[in-house]
Order: sequence, then structure tokens, then C-alpha cells
Amino acid sequence: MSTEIVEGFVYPNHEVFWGMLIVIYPYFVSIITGMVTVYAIAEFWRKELKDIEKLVVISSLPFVLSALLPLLLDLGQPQRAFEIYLTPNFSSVMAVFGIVYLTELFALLGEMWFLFRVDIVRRAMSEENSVLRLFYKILTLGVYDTDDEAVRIDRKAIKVLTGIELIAAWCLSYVSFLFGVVKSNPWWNTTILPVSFVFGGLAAGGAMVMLLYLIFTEFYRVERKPEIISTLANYVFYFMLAAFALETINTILYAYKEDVAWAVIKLASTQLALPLAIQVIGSLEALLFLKYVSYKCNMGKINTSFIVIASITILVVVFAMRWNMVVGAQLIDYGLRGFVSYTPPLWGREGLIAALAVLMAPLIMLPIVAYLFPPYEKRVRAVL
Amino acid sequence: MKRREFIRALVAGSVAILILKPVKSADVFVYVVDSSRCIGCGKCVKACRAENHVPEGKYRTWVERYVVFSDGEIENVFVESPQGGEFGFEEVDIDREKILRSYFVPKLCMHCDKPPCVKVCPVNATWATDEGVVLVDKSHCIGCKYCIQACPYGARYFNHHERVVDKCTWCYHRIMRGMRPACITVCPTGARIFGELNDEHIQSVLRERNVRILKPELNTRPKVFYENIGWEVW
Repeated sequence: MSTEIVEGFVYPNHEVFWGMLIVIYPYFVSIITGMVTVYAIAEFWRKELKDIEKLVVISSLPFVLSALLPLLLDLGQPQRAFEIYLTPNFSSVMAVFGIVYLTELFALLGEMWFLFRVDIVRRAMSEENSVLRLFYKILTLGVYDTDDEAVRIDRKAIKVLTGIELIAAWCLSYVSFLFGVVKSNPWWNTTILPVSFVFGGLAAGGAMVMLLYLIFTEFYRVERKPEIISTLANYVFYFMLAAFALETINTILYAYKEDVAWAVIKLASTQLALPLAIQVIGSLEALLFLKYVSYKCNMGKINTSFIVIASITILVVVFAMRWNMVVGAQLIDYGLRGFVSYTPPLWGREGLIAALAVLMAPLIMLPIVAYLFPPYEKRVRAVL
Repeated sequence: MKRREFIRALVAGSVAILILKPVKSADVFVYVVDSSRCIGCGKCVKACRAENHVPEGKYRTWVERYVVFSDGEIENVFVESPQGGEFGFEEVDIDREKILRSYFVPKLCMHCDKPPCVKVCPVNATWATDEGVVLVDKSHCIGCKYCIQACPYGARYFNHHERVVDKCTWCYHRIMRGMRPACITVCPTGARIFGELNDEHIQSVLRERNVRILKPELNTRPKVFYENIGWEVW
């Protein structure tokens, strides 16, 4: 049993129904929102980020594909999951999420196709491996036109799709509404939650892009540009600051108001000492490191280890935020007279091992996607 | 068929569907609990388990005991429901002199008129019947547990064997045959009353006695009413 009564009276049916997997689900969604937003920033506003466009797109795909995995594993009857599309209840946030998710997936695939179309055509004509050649030939969809006019139209299509994708990604981030609309749970039922969730997601996605930029530039031996790191670090800094500030304001408001739920929230928080400490200390540490990284980059220097520390810290902090939001809120009984503790099991569908496998899924998928669609020109054989 | 005719037929068909849509039956059921009559024997919990094959450790109905006591200062509230009250209650370890009031409160699904559980179900696997009974189609439920989270009364549970959500149905299979729910039938003191809203006895209870609903601030409009409970019950 992973749920145990710690103190007070709890309703006899009370359990922590959503465990590790449902923590990972909004975590992935957060990263997707952040990455897509970074892409949109590069596409529409900050031309210095153009170099990372392909990197961001190919990195987003494994996360989008993996986002459904924790949900499916958590379902009692995963074979019926498709019912969300067949008999949807449009008053349910979860049903609407299904539609938004598909929009996001198809917009991303479309964007990727237009972005890599010239590369796909090149490889369809020059690839030595016959299976890969066939794969790229199919991907061309019969379009081999790569002249300037065609590329110009591609760029226009990318702009439109980026707009759709950005809207879809932010709507995906409304997954926090899934929790926010549960009026029976005072921890979830706050107006600030969806907003702080989005900012946390933007920071996590930005941090993931920074980390992947370091890894890919190392792997492809591409020169790192300080202006890219500096711009990213600045954005991530402000996103993180907003997320941290909103979470803090929310807690202060709750503590000051001292309504009937606060007594039990305060007590249940003792079960969350570690993730709460990670959230607070990690946020402050990451903010300091990001400012330092940005300052150094403005002087033309790249401090790799600080970037790695800051990025990983943010990813851990946002995971802790999601843990506190999903698991923390469920520790409180709806009778508001007691709370439970939750220890995730090691094995089983909702266990730590399964959760770790789900967490790793996008990182396992990423090298495959990068092999098929290299983000940098270096690896593409230019035959034409 | 011409376009104009097609549009005309479409509009006429839509209007016909709207007009012919069955109106909600007036035979809405309600449930009244008189706490002053409940002796906490747990027979209702046992009967419910037997009638509906409720798994061990899960409850479609349960009984809570409230003990309000004071040690010279403000009121303190002690609440318990050991094993859902299924096997009764032991004597409470509080000085009798300090106890201000003590009573049992049977709990169950409120079959809300505005059920938050129905609103959040992504696949329409849970719904309210014309009689106002909130049901779950176990063959359609995907087991996402969102409805459990949305229920403010803790009335839903996850059936780990069937891997779907389950809850009190007011013994729908019985009431649709003119019988009463199992919990009502076995109650030795008549603490639970069940019937149609326009039933004479129910009407008199709702009119003449001081009944209240739980968590009215959530606007779920429960159809389970309580008599003789204090502020401490929610």
C-alpha cells in the first residue's frame, strides 16, 4: 500500500490515486510548452536563435510523442483510451486535452516536414542505404522542388504552423486546468495555479533547450554562440522568476487567510519537506547561476559547467513543483480533517522503475530522431 | 434533393429533435438521513457490501462518528470511521463530562444535481439518469480516476480488481423494480429515508424538518439531506 494515514480523519475511500506517472505527464507537457515557445521566439522575434530552430523542433517531437505514455500507463483500462475521441465529453478538461494534443502533434509534424523538406529531398536522392532512401522518398510526399520560391513558401508555412503550434502548446499547458477545476481540492482550486504552471513549464523547456544545445554542439562539433546561450538564459531567468514568485505569493496568501483548509495543508506539507526544499533552494540557486551565465556570455565567454548546473537544477525544480502539485494536493483528505503520506512503490505499473523508464523515453527517442533528421548541416551529404 | 430543400429539411429535423427531446422525469429520488436515529451499528455498510459486491476496504456507504467536546475553551471535534463503521464503534476515549454532543452520520454518494464527477469524465462513462441517480458504466470507464478527484464527498473509489471507478447507485437495480436500497431496508432505526421527491412523506420531511445538505458552498446541489447534524459535519 503506497498511501497511509498519517494524522486525523480521512474519508475511508481516500487514496493517492494519481502517482508518479501523473507527475511526469504535466512535466512533459511543461517541457513541450517551453520548447515550442523558444522555437516561436526564434521564429518571430529573436533572429540570433535561428541556429537552434532545427534542434528545438527535433527535440520537441520525442517529448510530444512521450506525453501520452504516462497517461496511458496510469489508466485502469488503457485499451479504452481512444474512447476520448469516440465519445468525448466536451465539458471535461481531459477530453479537450485529447483534441489539443492531436493539434499540437500534427502542427509539430507539419512544421518539421517543412523545416527539413530540403534535407529530406537531398537524402531521398543521395542516400546509399536503400531502406533509408525509401524512407526519405516517402517523406518527400512526391515533392522534389527545392528552388528559392519553394523554400520561401516553406518558410511561410512554417510561420503559420508555428503560430498554431504555439497556441496548441499553451493550450496543452492548460493541463493545469485539469487540476485547477477540481473545486473539492483546496490545493488545486486556486487561480494562480494555471499561471504559475505555464511559467514553470516555460523555464523547464528553455532549460532543456540550453542543455540540448550544449550536447548537440559537442556531438556535431559545431561552434557554440554566446549570444544564443545569453538570450536563452535571460528568458529562462525571467520565466523561472515568475514561476517562483507566483508559487510563493500563492503560499503566502493561503497562510495569511488561514481558512479551514490551511491547517491541513500546513500539516500535510511536512510530508513534502524534500520536494519543497528543492523547489525553494533550487529556484534561488538556478536564478543566481542563470544571471551569472548570462553576464559571462555578454562578455563573450561560455561557462559550460554553470549552464549545465543551472539547466539541470531548473529541470529538477520544475519536477519537484509538479510533484508538489499532483501528489501534495492528494495528501489532503477532502474532509479537511486529516492527511496521508505517499511512498511510490518500486515495481509495478505505477512504480518508480516504470516512472523512470517513462522519463527516459524521450531521451531514448531523441538520438533516433536526430539520426534521421540531423539538426546541423555537417552530417547531411550535399550531393545536389 | 436541392440545396435549399436540404437546408430546409435539416432545420426542420433539428427543430423536431429539440421539441421531441424527452423532458426530465419528475420521478427524481431523494434520500434523507436523520442522524439522531443512527446508532452506528454498521448494518447498512454490511448490507451494501453484500448487495453490491463492494471490495474489502472500499465503501459505497460508511458511517462517521462525531464527538464534539470542550475542555473549557472552544469546541473540539473528533471524527472517526473505523473500517467505515461496518463493525460498529468502540467507546471513545474522551472524558464524558467534556462531551457536548455526539452522534453518527451515515455518508454515501450525494447523487448531486450538478455532479462535478459527471462534468469531468472524459468519455461520458458516468452520467445522471432521469431519476437523478448518478451511475457509472463500468464497461465504458477508462479508469482515469478524474471523477474520484472531482467528488468532494469521497464517495467514489477505484476498484483495483476491475480497474474501473465504482460508487453508490442507490441500488439502482432494486429501486427501478420498486424496491428500496439495501441500506434503507436493513436500517433498524429508520435513520435513512428514501423516495421520490414528490412522495408525500418525503415532502413533509423536507417541509417540516430542519434539513441541510453537505458542502453547499460548492454548488453541487446534493440530493441527500441531513437532519440533526451540527456545523462540524461537512
